[in-house]
Amino acid sequence: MQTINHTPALSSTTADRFLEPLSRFIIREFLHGDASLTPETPLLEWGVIDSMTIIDVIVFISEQLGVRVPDEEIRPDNFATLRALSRMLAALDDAARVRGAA
Amino acid sequence: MSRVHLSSLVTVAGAHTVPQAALGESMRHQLARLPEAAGVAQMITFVYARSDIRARHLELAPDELERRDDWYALTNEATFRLACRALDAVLAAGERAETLDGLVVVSSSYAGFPALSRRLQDRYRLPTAARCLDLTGLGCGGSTQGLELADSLVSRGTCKKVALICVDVMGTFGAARRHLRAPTMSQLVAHCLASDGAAALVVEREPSPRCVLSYARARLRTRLWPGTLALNDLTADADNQPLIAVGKDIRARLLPEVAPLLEQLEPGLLAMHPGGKALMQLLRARCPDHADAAELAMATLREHGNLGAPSALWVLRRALSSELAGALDRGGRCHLFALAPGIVTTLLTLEGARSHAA
Repeated sequence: MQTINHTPALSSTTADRFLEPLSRFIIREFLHGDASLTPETPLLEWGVIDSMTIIDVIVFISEQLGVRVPDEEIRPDNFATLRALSRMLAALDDAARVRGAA
Repeated sequence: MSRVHLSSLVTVAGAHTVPQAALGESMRHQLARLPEAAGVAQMITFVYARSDIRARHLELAPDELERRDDWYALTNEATFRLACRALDAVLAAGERAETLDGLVVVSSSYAGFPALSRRLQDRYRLPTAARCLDLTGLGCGGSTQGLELADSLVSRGTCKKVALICVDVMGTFGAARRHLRAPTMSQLVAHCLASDGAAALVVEREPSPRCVLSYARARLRTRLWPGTLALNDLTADADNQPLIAVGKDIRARLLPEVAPLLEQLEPGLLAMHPGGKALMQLLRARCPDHADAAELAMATLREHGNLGAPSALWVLRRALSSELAGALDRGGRCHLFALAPGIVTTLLTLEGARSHAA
């Protein structure tokens, strides 16, 4: 089973590289394109994304961002905010790059 | 004008309480047999955790559901068994079957004839002339519409004493299903909510020591949301085992349809059927005056899951023994609110209501 180390010390530049495309996608798909999100907007708590729409987010991540999210990482805490989501994706992406380079 | 009394309000959970995580594992196990279900299966952890439900009830044991392949028969059997336990509880509270001249049964999980009400009439030896009526397909809105029917039988003098039984085994209904094709996300979400439960009470003119609430007049308001019939679907596959679906557009339609009604609600006690966490969060945020009522409903959802027809009466029972009951003194109204398949908003208001709960 693949596990991810969500290192708190992950640099913001590295961790945040997925913020913008995720934000654009979520605003376009779930907020009719006319809202703004901060990295800390509580996406689940405010119902921006929910159990019905989460699969659309996963498909976008896979097809447009090129990151495969393993089943065990599809948990509410990893989708709570754009920041949490972006950090998870950065950790997954970094791990995949390390594996690819090895 | 004489008052109507609600007595012997009881709630009964399905006989087996199963943690939500275990039910998620069971679903994962079932879908593992279907390669095309891999995409939906990977969402199970998220969807089940996000439901905020700790445990749900099944009338039949999970290992029995695993063994049996007679879905239709076992669903009816579980509904009948749970209905019997609800009526047992009413009789244990002090009611006598031979004095019941009316029986209203509300269930979306029972299908077939003779009607469930007639089977209960026969088993419990209710008077042979008793009015026995069944309401089906009303989903979670069953209790509001069932109570209105029971009230009308009593208020018009057709019956003196009517038992209302709301019973659904939608948890068993879903857990017993053999998946032959991948469910949709809508079906997965609906599946993770469903639980087995019953609520029953007696509606009568005469006051009794078992009375928990009395009122002067019942008024039901319902509204079909235009163009929403496909949003809350019960679709049978070729194997004739239906699966419930909840469309994601419900969320977008909820506030425009429901918030104005709740915002203009006359003061009183409000018992809300908890459809799901996301819907309740939306209502709580938009209607802060009803935040306590929403929280009580969500607590019921967390502890028991979505019980279907009986759920609003479960919440009412809790509300009558909580601080919220004080709202009856201030407003003199008791509101039962539930959404039904359609989508239909149902709101039953008991005017001139007084609590008699201990």
